[in-house]
Amino acid sequence: MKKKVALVLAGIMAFATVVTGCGSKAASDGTFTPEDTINWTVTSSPGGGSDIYTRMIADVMTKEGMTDETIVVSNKTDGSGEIGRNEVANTKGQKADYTLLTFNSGDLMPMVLNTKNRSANFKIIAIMAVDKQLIFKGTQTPYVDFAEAIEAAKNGTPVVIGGSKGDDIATYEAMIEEIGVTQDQMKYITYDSTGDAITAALGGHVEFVISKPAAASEYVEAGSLFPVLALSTERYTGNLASAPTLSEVGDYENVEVPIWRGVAAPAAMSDAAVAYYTEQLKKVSESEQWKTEYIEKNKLIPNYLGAAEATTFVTEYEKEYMEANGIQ
Amino acid sequence: MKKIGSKQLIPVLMAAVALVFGLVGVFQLGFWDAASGPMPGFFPSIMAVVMFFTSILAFAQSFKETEKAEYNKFELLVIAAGAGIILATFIIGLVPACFVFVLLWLRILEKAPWKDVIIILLVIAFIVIGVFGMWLGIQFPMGLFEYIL
Amino acid sequence: MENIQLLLQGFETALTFQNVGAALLGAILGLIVGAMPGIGSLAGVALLLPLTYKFNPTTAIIMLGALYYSNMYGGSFSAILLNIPGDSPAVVTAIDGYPMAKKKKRPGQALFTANMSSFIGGTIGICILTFTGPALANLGLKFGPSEMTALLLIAMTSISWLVGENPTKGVIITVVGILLASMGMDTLSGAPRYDFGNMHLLGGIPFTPFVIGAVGFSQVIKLINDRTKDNGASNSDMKLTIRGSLLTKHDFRRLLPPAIRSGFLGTFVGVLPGAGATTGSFLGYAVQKKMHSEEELGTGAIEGIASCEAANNAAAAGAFAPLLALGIPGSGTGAVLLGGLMMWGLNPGPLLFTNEPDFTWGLIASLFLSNILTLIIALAVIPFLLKILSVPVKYMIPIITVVCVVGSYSSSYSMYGVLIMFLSGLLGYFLSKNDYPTAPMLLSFVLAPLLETNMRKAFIISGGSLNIFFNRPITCVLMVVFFAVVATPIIKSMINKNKNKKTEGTN
Repeated sequence: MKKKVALVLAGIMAFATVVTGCGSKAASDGTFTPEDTINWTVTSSPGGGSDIYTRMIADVMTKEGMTDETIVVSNKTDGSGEIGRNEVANTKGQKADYTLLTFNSGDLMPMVLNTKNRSANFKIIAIMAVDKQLIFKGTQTPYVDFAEAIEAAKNGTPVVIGGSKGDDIATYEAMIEEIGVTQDQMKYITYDSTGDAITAALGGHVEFVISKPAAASEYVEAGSLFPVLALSTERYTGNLASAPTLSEVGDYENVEVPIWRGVAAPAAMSDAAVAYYTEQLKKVSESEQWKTEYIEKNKLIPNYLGAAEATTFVTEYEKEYMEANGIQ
Repeated sequence: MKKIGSKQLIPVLMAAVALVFGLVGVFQLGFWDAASGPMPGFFPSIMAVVMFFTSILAFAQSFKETEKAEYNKFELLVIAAGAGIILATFIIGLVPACFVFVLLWLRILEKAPWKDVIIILLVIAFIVIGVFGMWLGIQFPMGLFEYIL
Repeated sequence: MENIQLLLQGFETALTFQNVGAALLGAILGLIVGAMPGIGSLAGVALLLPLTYKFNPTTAIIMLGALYYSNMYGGSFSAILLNIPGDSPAVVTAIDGYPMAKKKKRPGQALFTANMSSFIGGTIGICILTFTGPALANLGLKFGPSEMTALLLIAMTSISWLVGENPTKGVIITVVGILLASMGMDTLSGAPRYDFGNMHLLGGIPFTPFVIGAVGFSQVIKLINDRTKDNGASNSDMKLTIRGSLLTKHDFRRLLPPAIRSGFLGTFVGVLPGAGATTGSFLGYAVQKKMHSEEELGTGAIEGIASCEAANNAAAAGAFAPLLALGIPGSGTGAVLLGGLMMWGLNPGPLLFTNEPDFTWGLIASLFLSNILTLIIALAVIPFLLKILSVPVKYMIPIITVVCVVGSYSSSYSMYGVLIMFLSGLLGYFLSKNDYPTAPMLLSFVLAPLLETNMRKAFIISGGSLNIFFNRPITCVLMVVFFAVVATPIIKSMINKNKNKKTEGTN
């Protein structure tokens, strides 16, 4: 009987949150506490790195009791995420205080390249961590290690690498430039998400897949993917320790394209709300769960920057990227 | 010589669309890359070529069709109503625009009794505000009110 | 045998009072969400996800499973009764469902057929999942770009079966769908395509508003011609009770073969990466087109409804195989479920079956459970739904218009969705006024982007060479099937011509 009652109560609670969840206002004393559902937009597919990152933050915020409100994470992948980013940038009014966006360097690059949307259209709330990539091989890949693949590519056998959009492509380009092969010798197939690219590697349709540790680690654990190259200045630890860096593979410089992971909000978000979220995210970055279940597990480099520093950093990053690509 | 009707107009429009897609496809997007095969324009431009020629064929065939498409003025009224809701949304917001539309439509066009109108408005209010708005948590655009509030 | 034992254990986990209650609640909510156009199962599951955090993972996933399933059922309700597909797989349901409800005056039977076939398709899908689970997922992995290209080529030929009497118009409308779908971001090159400098077009044309417009709104425009007809009189001979909605033995015999065939086909499609329930239901319907149906498809045939409804529910079940066995979401909804799994601290991936047998088998058992519960609830609400039909047409017009507007807004959270709905409504209206069929456009809109990206990926791998389509065993077999499908009608007509000549000669 108790369970039934619990169920009914849950139903009533659900209804009540819906009914009362409308039309709350920010407190008038200049501080901000959310009194409504927080909508968090992720502009890439569920299951990928950005998605895991977002859901982890949301989970920490809920579990540590930082907010009683529900955080709804929605994946808006339309137009390679540009629509979602544009929506967040243009969110106005009270809703702006309840809208967050997962924003990383892989999002910024195509946004700046393909649209008129700029980081100035957002408020950068925080940067949480820095991520890097590795190259993995599937079970059906004919090469023992990546050195062999480089050899093959140089001798005219095309090598196929799969990966996601944005920062994966940037890392791939930096890597082949260092190795000194052309895009035809070492080909790249863009998938909608890292998950799709890993699927292709599991099926043997691409020989290598470029991925951040988070999305691939389950498969490494299960023995269906093997790390063969760390795109980093030093080796990873744990189950990824076997992957050498590029300088160990041959006479190359190490290639590393760090990807920062941040959180942004609409430009219209009130300063009180920005201060609130920055503070909460700082608490997240200091929490035990975040450190062990996200940073350590996914082998990221913790790097918390508050709103002010993060904004400076992102603006500078965007400026350099635009100059490098000749964008006005 | 028969009059040119919409049966002729559609193939002509389609051919024009095909031309735009084909030209943009081949010249702007690229057709074939020697090393990696098809480029972004490859597939759409082939399809555009197919469409261009079938449109010409359809244009020729259209003269054989005896029945002409008939348009009823009430049908155009529904279209106008749809356009009206969209325009009104930018001024008074989506939900009020819908209500005003239903009210005007039922009272002026259908001359429905007030009792029916109120029942229908309640049903719509339940679906729009109850299910979509409150339960599914969708925030509808408010038009100019958004700037006033 | 081991699987059955595990499944029975799963039932033990699933069949608690709380879990059944959760499944019931999920089924009811899912039906409502599913019947609303614009809110597909994706949104439904996403919206309910936060609600389930209060439960333990098993209960939560049972609730979501039920919601996912009943969503599919709900989508067919509005398709059959109003000709507005509640979600994208239901587009096909409307082709036969609406005529059956309206012209044949058998709305109850149409709903009943949809529900029964969904149930059969779903059950077949879950059975296959139970016995072959991981193996099935591994089969899906075998399908790389070249295999998918060949398979999609076969699927594209099925469009020609839907075209109708004028092949020229059929080709045009098919290509319109392809060109519209090609707009937006091109993933492979990472560059925008046919966006004409417009921010919204960069994202392409969203499918849901496009369908609501092309099918639903264009329908309303035509419906106005019936507004003076008194619906009340014509309804009196309709049986609006549950008893009057029951299928006859004969109906049931017509329903069974397509439902079973689509059940297998749909499961297979669901397992393939990125194919999804919509492709499943289109294919199921297209295959039925080639088979014998008692009435012509498109005129309200039971076979038509059964073939697509069974396929889309089977595909939904099939999509669980890669999700559970490999951690790969086969569809958007699967992806949200995956997110849910992670929230509950489970690690979906290759190790889930071994590490969390309680959970995975509990989930599979709960799929059986929710399938049955949803069927019961769906059948029970039929009489209430039928009341919608007694509303006069002249009142339905403004109501449906508003639902189209609100639904298309909700699917994209922007007026752009409403605009697309409106424009595609106009397009659908003008095209159908001039005898162009709209179904091929919707089908090619779904299939063409899949075909194109897979084909281009295959060409990148092969370096532009066509060999890749012939030197891989699965691809080669599929290509042979494709050429056979294309060549058969041509050869047939050639033989017929020869015969005609001969007979003319002897005369």
